[in-house]
Amino acid sequence: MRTKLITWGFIPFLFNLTVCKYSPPKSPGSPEDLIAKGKYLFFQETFEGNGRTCGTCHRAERNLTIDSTFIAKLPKDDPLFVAEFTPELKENFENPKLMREFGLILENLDGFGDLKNKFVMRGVPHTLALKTSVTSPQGHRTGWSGDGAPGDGSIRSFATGAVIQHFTKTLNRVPGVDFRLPREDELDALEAFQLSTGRQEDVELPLSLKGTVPKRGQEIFLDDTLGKCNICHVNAGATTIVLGRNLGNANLNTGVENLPDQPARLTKELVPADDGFGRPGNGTFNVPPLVEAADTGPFFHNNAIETIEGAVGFYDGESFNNSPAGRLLAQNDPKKSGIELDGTQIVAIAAFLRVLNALENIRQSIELLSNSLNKRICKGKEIKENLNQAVHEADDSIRVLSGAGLHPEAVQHLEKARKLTKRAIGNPFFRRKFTRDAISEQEKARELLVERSS
Amino acid sequence: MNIQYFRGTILIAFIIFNASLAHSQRTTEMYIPIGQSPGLSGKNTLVGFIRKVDAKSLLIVIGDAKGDQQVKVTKGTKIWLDRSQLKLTNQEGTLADCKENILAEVKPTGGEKKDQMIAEWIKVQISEIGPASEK
Repeated sequence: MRTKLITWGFIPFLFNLTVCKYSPPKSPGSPEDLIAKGKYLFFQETFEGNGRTCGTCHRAERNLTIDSTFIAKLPKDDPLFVAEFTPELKENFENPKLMREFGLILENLDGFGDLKNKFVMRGVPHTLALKTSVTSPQGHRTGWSGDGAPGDGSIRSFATGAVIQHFTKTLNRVPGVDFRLPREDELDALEAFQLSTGRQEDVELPLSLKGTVPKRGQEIFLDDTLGKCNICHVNAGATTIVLGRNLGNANLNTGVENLPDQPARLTKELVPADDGFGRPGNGTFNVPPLVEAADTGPFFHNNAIETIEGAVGFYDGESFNNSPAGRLLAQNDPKKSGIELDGTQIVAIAAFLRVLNALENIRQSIELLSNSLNKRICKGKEIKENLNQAVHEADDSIRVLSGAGLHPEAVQHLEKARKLTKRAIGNPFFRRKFTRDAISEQEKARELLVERSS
Repeated sequence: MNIQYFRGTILIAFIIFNASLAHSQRTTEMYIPIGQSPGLSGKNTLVGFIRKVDAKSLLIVIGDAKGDQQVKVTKGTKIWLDRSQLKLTNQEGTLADCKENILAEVKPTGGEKKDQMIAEWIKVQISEIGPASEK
């Protein structure tokens, strides 16, 4: 039996190997090539700086973000910790304590004139689904406060600002000495890659969810008199529509800066106030998409809240309801109420967001697994990359669902899918079979979360 | 016109106000050498030599291949010294650093008159060791 299996597994292996030679070359400059080049630059290119790449903070295996749990597993010489082992960057470049404990990165958004006192500490936003979440009538909104890019402020220009802020060898920040600036062709490629990651379109709510609590959470989310979430996060994305008017990806002051007991401020470290958009800032921050929220915490620009339940709960609190955005929501409420939710309702909305996130994980997993099936065996590195990423997506979906006791049967299928994907990585002869089986398990999990038509 | 509509209008106005018009992050812009600002240089900026400086009326004349262009400097205009050719850190400057025959790049605010450009920022190239380079 075993011999038979090996024989049958070996034939497609050989076939793939033979066909590899005859694969037609891709046309240079095709969108796929541009994305591939951008991906390489994003994860490999240091721009002759301190060793960091975009991927140093936006990790592929961590949903293009980073958090303290992940940071704790990194080796001491990881470029993320460059301030800990480069004498020129020891002072006023990062705060290693806040980085390690809360995943916070130092940014000089109000100027480089007083490095010791003038800075902000921000979490790393994930860069998934940017295609759906950076456009506003005023142009692109990048980074936590929407003004992260120099030049024309577009996502294409963002990398230039990031290199100057984060890649420099010394605090002199001299182009050609401390780093090199990205070339035009590199900016094109980086833009193409960044816009290619994650969802390429918004979901359409409501979904026909099967879970009782997530289903109720979706109702509250969409209810403009109760949860009011859908006003600023239309379809759980990053678009704001007020009274039928589409404001695109808006900037709002939701009072996050006024939260009491913010983790970083409980330490003795200096954490200056973050005034958001502009210089001086107007206190507003950019609306992030929510589909990807549950597995990309901690939440808000200052990583103030660790859990998705806590993040939803924030909107029931005083900081939000006394903020400009909260007060205006209340003004437009028939009962003059801001957002008033009880514990069960907060958990229900969070459960909905968890399921939404898991569905996106499943979509991505299936896409990655299918892509790996379509690749020739000579693309072994790419196949392995796809499969490894599919494992990470499976991990995320398991984590976000089991973290709230949601859909245990679906979790079983996701765990099977994860195991099969790992077997596909380790066994090139039966890779295709294991991959197909993993897709099947992912599909079974999805069917337990949502009706097929959704 | 009911109260609900009025409130809605205020809400939209508030959000749009907060949506601010300017986007770019000025702080890292300072370190980008003349002619290399992504998405701006070669498209939406003026690069040329300073022909004349009128400090009293806050006017600079910049000449490029197309001719001379009058540039208005306001309180909000940022002036940066591009010292990258000297391998030195770029710095904030003042109108006093804008001298004749120096290469400069101007980013207009976008709300100017036909014959006068209002500067959002001006980069001035410092290519020789001197008072401006030694700041």
